[in-house]
This record gives sequence, structure tokens and C-alpha cells, in this order.
Amino acid sequence: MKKLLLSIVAGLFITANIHAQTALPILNCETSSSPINNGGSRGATDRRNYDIANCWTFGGVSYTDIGAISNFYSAQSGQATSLLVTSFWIKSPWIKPGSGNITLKAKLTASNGTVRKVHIAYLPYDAVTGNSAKEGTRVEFNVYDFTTINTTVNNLSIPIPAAIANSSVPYKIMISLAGSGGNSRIMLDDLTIPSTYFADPLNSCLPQVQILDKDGDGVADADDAFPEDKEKAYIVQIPNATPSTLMFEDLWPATGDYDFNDFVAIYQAKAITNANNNVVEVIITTQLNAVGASFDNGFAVQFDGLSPIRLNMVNGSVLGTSKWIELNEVGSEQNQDFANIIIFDKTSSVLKSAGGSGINVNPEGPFVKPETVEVTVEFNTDKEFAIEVKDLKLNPYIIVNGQREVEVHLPDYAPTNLASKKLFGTGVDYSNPEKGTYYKTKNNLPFAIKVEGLIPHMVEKQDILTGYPKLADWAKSEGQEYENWYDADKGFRENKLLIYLEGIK
Amino acid sequence: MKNFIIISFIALVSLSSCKKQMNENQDLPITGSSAKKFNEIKTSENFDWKTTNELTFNYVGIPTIQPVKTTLTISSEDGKIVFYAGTQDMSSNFQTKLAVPTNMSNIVVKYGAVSKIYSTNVSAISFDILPTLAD
Repeated sequence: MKKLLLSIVAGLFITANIHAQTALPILNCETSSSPINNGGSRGATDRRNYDIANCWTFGGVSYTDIGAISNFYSAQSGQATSLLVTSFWIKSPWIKPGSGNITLKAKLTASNGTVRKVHIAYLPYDAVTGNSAKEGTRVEFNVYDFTTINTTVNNLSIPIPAAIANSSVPYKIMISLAGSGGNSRIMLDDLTIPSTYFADPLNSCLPQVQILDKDGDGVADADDAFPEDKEKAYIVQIPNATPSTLMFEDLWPATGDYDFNDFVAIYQAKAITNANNNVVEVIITTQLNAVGASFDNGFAVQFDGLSPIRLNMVNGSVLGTSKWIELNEVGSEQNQDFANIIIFDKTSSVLKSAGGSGINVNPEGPFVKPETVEVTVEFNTDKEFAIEVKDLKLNPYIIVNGQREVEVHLPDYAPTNLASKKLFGTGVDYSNPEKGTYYKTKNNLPFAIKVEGLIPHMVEKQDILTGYPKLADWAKSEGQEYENWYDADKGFRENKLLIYLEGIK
Repeated sequence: MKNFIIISFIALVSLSSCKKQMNENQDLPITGSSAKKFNEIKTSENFDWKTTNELTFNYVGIPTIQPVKTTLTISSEDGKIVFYAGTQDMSSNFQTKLAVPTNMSNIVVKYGAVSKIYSTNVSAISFDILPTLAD
């Protein structure tokens, strides 16, 4: 409790999204996706869009590379034949004005026109009576008059008015381009405003606000799944481990009855990451739903490509008394190149039979309430060991009947170090390690299927095609047809051959 | 007359039998699937049996006046499945792979106040916060 209170009392406020406040807002019309001049209207639009993304706004003002004042591009008004200050304008982002002079360069595109002016004003922040951008009433503090109508570049330097200099509240600077007669446009470039940038590009360009970050990890409480734990910030579903139904045949490398109910589990894995996007924990949740097998199979997950050295601790495994289990000091499996986590050693350690053949595979019952095993894998977040979610490639598999060397994986998922390679190519298995193809028959049929979502499994001894007929069309079309072959809403199921446990739709 | 009765009885039994068979067939709601047993299926070795669409997500960074960062989130439309969440610098590019269930037609990308919906029927998504208007 004391720790919690201290955390709250000492809680840091961070300024939303912005992590430095020293840069000057400069509009030079040159920022773009391309570091070089990409020319023409596309380049002009590109550059202006980048400035808009940084919270500059424009009214009737475009960018052009024709006759630019400096470098490649300048801003320019339309034909300056309106004396209204609302016809052609540029507004700065929200700033906290400093002191000194606003500077800019301006010229006309042609030597014609009666009047050409540059109006300079500030806009206060007004959250109550302001417009949708929270801009208050415009206050003009300088007008530059082009006394000579020609195409010479004019260097303007205007002091920031004392009323707003060194202010702690936000303002915008508004530059209006006005005139009458002729058809020349007013060009502008290299606008510099001594100030502190105070807009938030990620919050509709409104002024930065103080947001709460109780644990001081740099992630706002509103986005932080663990607002009082600076070691954790986000919860993310691991790719290919969204809540899924795993269904295995366990006679590999021999052919089975293809009811895919020898081992049925609802499986998912989430990663908890910190503010640096490093993985802190992985939580693997396995709900064992059915066992249509005489074999007592174990269940494990390999982190493909990930050395066990990156792990800190494994908690929650159900290990029973199986003699084949050998774990290292952090709780992952011994003698493995990649981290292997035993979820449970055998199905009987998790689900007890209520009598009869198999568990939850006969429509007449008896039924057993599915059990859930939650395993937490803690990761080392030290810089040299830290990983990100994209480094997590989970490879779930069963260990057949206590024979550690016999594993069954999803199609084309590689076996672990401890699997016997001698079994490949025997029975109906057509694995080809050199090509990276595993656990498939000559006709490319799998021994395990994973379906994203929670779906019912097959009644014992019923071929999966009798329950899910469109699975055949999906497979034969290589996934082009009936991609939702398991979908209840589309009537693709033969329900009397399927077992619906609680929570399965 | 006796023959007529026998023939009629046989015909009636035959018709009843046909009717029962038809009813049984009607119990099968789905027709047209060419394979009746799983081991009759033949597929290309390229078929991966996955019920996910693999997408490449790209965040396209843009230069900023100051360093700006906030949370980038990629989720299902209902927000129940978060495919990615992390701190993202506005000016840095970022790429990640997503595996989206095939029965999910859209995903939502949120970054600060910007929120966009993307179809999953593509192989790559490019996200930025640049204005969508050309001029």
C-alpha cells in the first residue's frame, strides 16, 4: 500500500506525446518524403502535407517550385486581389512565443497589382468561445506594404509584441496575404518564429496538455494497461496465437481416423510489453476441451528461433510425474536450442475422465468441465537480451503418450531438438526437412489443424469432413474458396456430428 | 386381384424406402463438396492450412519539428483483439507482420487522434497521418 501511495504521490505528469521543447517552428516549404527535390505539383503537395501534419494550416495558399524564393519550394497565395485577411493565410502551430523577431521572406510573382500587403497577427487560445481549433479573436500587430510592386525579395523582420512575448500560454501566428488589382501572387518562404513548439500533432494539433502517467514510464495512463507498474505497459496478442481451436491427430506418422479430436484445446498467447516495446511476459492460456485418444499426450510450445537464455522464469506448467521431463533452472525444457515450455505433461494431469471412452467426444456424455492451464513466461528485458513481439513465433505441439521423441506439430512447423528425426518419411508422413515441410502427407494433409476462433470439435470416429464438409473445398482451392469453412453463421456445419462445449459457438 | 395387392404393397414399400433415403439426404445441409473423407483430399504443397491472413503493416514516419511519440494500436473493430500496441515515434518508420483471422474483414489502426479502418483483404497496409486531401 505504501509503495502504491508513493507511486501515486510521486507520479509524474508527462507532456502529451512531446519529448523536447526547444525547436523553433520554421516554415521553409522543403520538408518532404523525399530528401531531394521531387519537383512539380506532387512535390509541392507532398511538402505542404508534411507541414500540415506538423500543424501548420493554410487557407488559399499552395506550394510551388516556380520562382521559389529559396531552395526548391515556396508558399504562394492565389492572385492577390482580395484585401480580406481571410482570403490567403498561413497559421503557425500552437506556440509559446519567445522574444525577438519573426522573420520571413516575401516577394510578388509579377510586377503588377495596385496593393500588396502581408498582415501579421496572433491568435490566442480560447477553449470556450474559440472556433473548432480553439482559436480566439485575431489580433493584428503588423502590416507590411509592398511599396514597390516588383519581384524583388523582401526580408521582413517583425518584433514579437510585448503582449505575448515570453508567454506561458499558447498562441498561433497568422500571416495573411492581401491585395488589389493586377494578378500577381504573393510568395513567402523561410518563416521563423522565436518560440517553443506547443502543438500536439497526434491530438488534432491542439495545444499540448498535461496527461497523467502515474508510473512515469512515458506511456499515458489512458494507453497503459498497467498504469501503476513502470515495467509493463501493453498487452498484445501474439501473431498466430489469437484465441484458436487446436485439433490434433496423435497417430503420426501413421494415418489416423481424421476426426481431429485426439487432442482438442482452446489456445491463445498474449505478450505483455514495456514502454520500450520489449517483451516482459508471455502468457499462454490452454483450455483442454477434449481427448478422443487412448494416448495420454502432453502439450508444449516452442518459441521458434528464441534461445532459452532470453527467459527469466516459467510459471504455471502442470508437470505431473512424467519421467521424461527435464527442465533448466528457469523452467524451460533442457537440451533445447530454442525455448520450449511444457504446458502440461499429459492430458490426464489436467482432465480426469468421467468414464467411458475418451473425454468430451461422445454426444451422449458424460461430459467433463474443460480445464485451463495458464503458463507465464517471464523474459529478460536487459538490453542485450530484450526481444519484441515480432520476435515471438510460437510453435504449439503435442508429445505423444509420454514418448518425448514423438511430437506432432501443426503443418510445416518444425520439430524440436528432442523429436526423433528417424520418424520423418515413415508411415504416411512426407516431411522434407531440407525443404522445411513437416508433418504433412504426400497429399499435403496435416496431422493437426488450428482454427482462429472457438469452434466445436468432432464426435469420436467421425471424419472431420462429415462435420465440416466445406473444409475439403477450402483445402482443394488452396484457401481461395470457403475460407470460413468452419463458420456457423453460413451453415457450413453438420451440428449433430459436432460437440459443443460451453462457450463454443 | 391377389397379384395386384402384392405389386401395390411392393411399390408402396419401395416408395417409402425412397422417401426415407431422400429425407436422410436432406439432413445433410451442405452439398457439392467433392471429397467425402479427409484422406481423399489432395492439395498443393504450397497450401499452409492457416485460417489467418498474413499482412505486413507499415507505419510511415514523417519528419517532425520536435520528437513526438505516442501509442500505436492495431486491433479488431470491436477492440477485443489487439494485434499490436506499442510506443511509436511519429518520425520513425515501423514495420510488423500481422496474422489476422480470415473471418475478420477489417482492422482498426489508432495513433493519437488518428483512427483508420483497413480491409484485411490485402497483403500490406501502409499507415501515415498525412492529410488525405491533395490540396
